Amino acid sequence: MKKFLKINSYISKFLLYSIPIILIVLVWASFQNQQQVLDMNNSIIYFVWNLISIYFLVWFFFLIYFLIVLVFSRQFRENILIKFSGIKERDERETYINGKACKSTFFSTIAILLLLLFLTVVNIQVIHLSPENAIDNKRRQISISLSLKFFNFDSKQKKDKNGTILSIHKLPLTTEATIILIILWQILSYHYFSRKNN
Amino acid sequence: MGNLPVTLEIENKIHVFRAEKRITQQQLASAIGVTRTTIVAIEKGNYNPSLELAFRLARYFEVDINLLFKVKEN
Repeated sequence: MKKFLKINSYISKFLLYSIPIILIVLVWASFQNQQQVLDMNNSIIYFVWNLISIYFLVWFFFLIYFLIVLVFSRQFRENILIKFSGIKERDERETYINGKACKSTFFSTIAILLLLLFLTVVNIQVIHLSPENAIDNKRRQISISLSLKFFNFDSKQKKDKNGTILSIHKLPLTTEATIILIILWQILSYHYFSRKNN
Repeated sequence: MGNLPVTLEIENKIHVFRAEKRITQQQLASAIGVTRTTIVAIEKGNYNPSLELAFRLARYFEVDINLLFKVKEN
């Protein structure tokens, strides 16, 4: 386990310290496209571009690995997120304060998520009716409705002009489905971890 | 449910024993393995230590725990 955490620690440091290079790659790519670089065949710029592209690819795959391990390894998650969030837990008093702060954060997050869920599913329309459609001579109408969809698949599988075979872009879940899942996860995981730490 | 109030106010004499021993809050904190802010909070009465920490403090000052902590009489 210690070796596993050590390796993951090195990977985290690699990801963090590579951020300046990745930013350079992203900025460069926004100014110059692939075709322009390929046209500069055998130049230093072409060589550097290839080198940085490979570096970016390696960084990208380590990032995917890092994110997956972050979800599934409790020890690693705590090590990383304690630094990320600036949480201090040096003695019992700080542990006690963290517990109270986490409880407040938990409740306020669920409250905000419930509000966001409501705002996502509710539709309010104020309609100005034409005279012929007026009801009891009243021409203003308020319509309140709820809509709840869980999935958001593209109905048509369009084949790109460039012949794209696979395109991964966003989760196929609607906003309301994502919010509901996060609320459920918060509550279920709280109870699970409470029992586990009992 | 009983005659005891729901919460007890606990007072301590840590600052007295610390002064007798002529040590700073930081030195005491380092000796018993907590942060200086915890010692400050305990001395001010803003935080009640756990049983374990209370015994560690008593052991450090070489006094009985009842001399160090007691329930405040109203």
